[in-house]
Amino acid sequence: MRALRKTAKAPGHVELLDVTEPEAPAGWVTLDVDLAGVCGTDIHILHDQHPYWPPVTLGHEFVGRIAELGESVSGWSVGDRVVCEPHQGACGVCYLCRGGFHHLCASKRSPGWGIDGGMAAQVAMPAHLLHSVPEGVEDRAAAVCEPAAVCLTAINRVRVMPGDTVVVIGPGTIGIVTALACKAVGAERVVVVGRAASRPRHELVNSLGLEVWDSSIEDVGEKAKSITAGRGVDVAFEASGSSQGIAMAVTALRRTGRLCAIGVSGAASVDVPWDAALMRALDVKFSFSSAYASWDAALSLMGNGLLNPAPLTTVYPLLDWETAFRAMEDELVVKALLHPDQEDGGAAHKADGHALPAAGERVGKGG
Amino acid sequence: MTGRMRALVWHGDNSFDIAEVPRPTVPQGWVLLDVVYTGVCGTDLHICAGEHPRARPGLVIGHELIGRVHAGGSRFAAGEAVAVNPILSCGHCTQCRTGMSHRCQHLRLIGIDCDGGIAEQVAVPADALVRVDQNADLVKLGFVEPLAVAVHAMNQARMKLGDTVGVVGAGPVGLAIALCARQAGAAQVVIREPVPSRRNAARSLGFEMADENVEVDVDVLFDAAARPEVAASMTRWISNGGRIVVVGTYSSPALIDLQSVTFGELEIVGTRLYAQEDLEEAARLVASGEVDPSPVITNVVSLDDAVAAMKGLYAGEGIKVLVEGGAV
Repeated sequence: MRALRKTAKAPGHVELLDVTEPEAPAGWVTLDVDLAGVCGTDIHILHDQHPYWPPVTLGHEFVGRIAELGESVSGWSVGDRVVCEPHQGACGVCYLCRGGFHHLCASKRSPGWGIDGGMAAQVAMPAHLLHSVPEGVEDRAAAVCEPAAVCLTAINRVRVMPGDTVVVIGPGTIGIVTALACKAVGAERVVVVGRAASRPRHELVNSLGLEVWDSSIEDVGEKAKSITAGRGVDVAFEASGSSQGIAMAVTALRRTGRLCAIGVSGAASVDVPWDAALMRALDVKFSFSSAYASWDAALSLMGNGLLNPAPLTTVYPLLDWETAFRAMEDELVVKALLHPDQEDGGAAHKADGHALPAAGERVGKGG
Repeated sequence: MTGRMRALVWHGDNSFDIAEVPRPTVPQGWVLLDVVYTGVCGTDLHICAGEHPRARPGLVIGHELIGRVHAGGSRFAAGEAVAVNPILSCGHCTQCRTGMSHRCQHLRLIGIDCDGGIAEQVAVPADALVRVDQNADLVKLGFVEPLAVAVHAMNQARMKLGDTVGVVGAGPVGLAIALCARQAGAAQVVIREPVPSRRNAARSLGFEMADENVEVDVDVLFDAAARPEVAASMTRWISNGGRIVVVGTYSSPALIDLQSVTFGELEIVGTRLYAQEDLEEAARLVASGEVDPSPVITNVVSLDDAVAAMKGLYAGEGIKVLVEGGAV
């Protein structure tokens, strides 16, 4: 089968290779992959900016159907449509695993960097990490289950309440899905903040029923006060990882507001407007990866029509992986998905995919 | 070592004695322990009175275990003293996957659903071992399991520094909770208990006793008695906005003044067993001396004297009985 592999410990060295199809050891299953999402992590691995153990097949976000059951797997059947938590190798006995935080276990070796991932025709996964995709949830939405679970884990960290006013800094997949999920939890007003450079995405965010502020035009702190009778917003999610984004989140918040950090900065340290945060007596939470219960919650929301990330996706054939990776890096698309069928290029998926107008220039990450 | 050992076996109804039984078989992933001490719990008294729904005759009872690892493995050395998490959870249900395996939908326990530790030896899952300070007093460590119940109850109670705490029932768990509440910064701990010997034990630990007729307003009230008259009266000695933590196991529905719950915005929360980290914390509290359970451990007896000590407990004598195993 074809698989997109990182072959050596250096920048580049990502190739589409012919490899042997995986087998399912006891307790594992093999999946026929339908769609695999491209995440910032995959791009970081391409550029040698994230830990990995080559040679390894990329991709930790995917939806597929069970092809084969390993020995002693029960409760699953061949053909079941599933997504899979990327928390392989969690030890099961540390304080994190025992406390329901196996997604934070230090022994974890996820698909896409620790073990072979989903950017291939098939992938082998442990059965205990599978979640069943409800009928009626399209593949393009299910493929975004991992980022959606990351967002729900973050929302549970700060407990968004019905009636809250929420600001989300950074219109990437995580930011937009967090904003959509805050709507689902009953937040009264949800605003996504993006920079001029991410302007091509603003229209898409608008079309999903979300308000967008362009931070190159608006003073986010003042605007936040203006929509909350001078008080400031209840909750801010920082999904850009930039010091400008962090400053916007802090200044947008009310006193005793809640800040949740979900954006990776990529730097050893970042500037924080410390005194502004202190005098607001903010609750600050960091959130990383996705908890078990968030996967079922994300799928349940999708199954009941309350969360649909499909419009964020653009499908590319696996053969065109370089185009897909570049489109993500250049912020031309929000979430690129790879379709492993080699010949038809996933035409059925591509027909209703959402491509953004060209941004014209390559831009970095950030709000 | 012969293939047989002595153990406390429940034969059905209210028949139990020390019997010769085969030494435990050790399934894959389990380890054999040489028992040091096993505490006798109220649950054991229920089993031996024929009152426990899950226990089957022929059972070796005992789940409050301190033992020594018989043969070393990757995580524990041979001869290392350990406490044991007796919870056997399925590992697959939502409760297990979210760090709440003590609420597992298929919960089983060593000493109830399979052979326990009032014996020379016992087999337990390797993952169930709890590391303890090797210099700690093993008799005091014999109280780790009930103390873990108290640690977990304290977590459920979300008590604040300076709170006034009430505890109903000065049995092993009630006293353990009182000790933990003092350790957690309670301004005052008041205990209600009718049995004179238990009142004396509470007093010897320095706790204040509430008179039956005195109404004290507490911020957090622990019900470690589980008696209908306690349920009926507990809303009367709690402050508005206070929290009632139900620790004891009620065997039938009880009357509660729910109007007081509404008007006072009271919270009623349950607490059951403990998580692994509660056992670890309990072992640390004992080893560091922050909690000294000595006055609660009233009897340490040999296997030969275990039946007599249990009959004493049925008669209301003693508080916590520890039975020596094969490693003492």
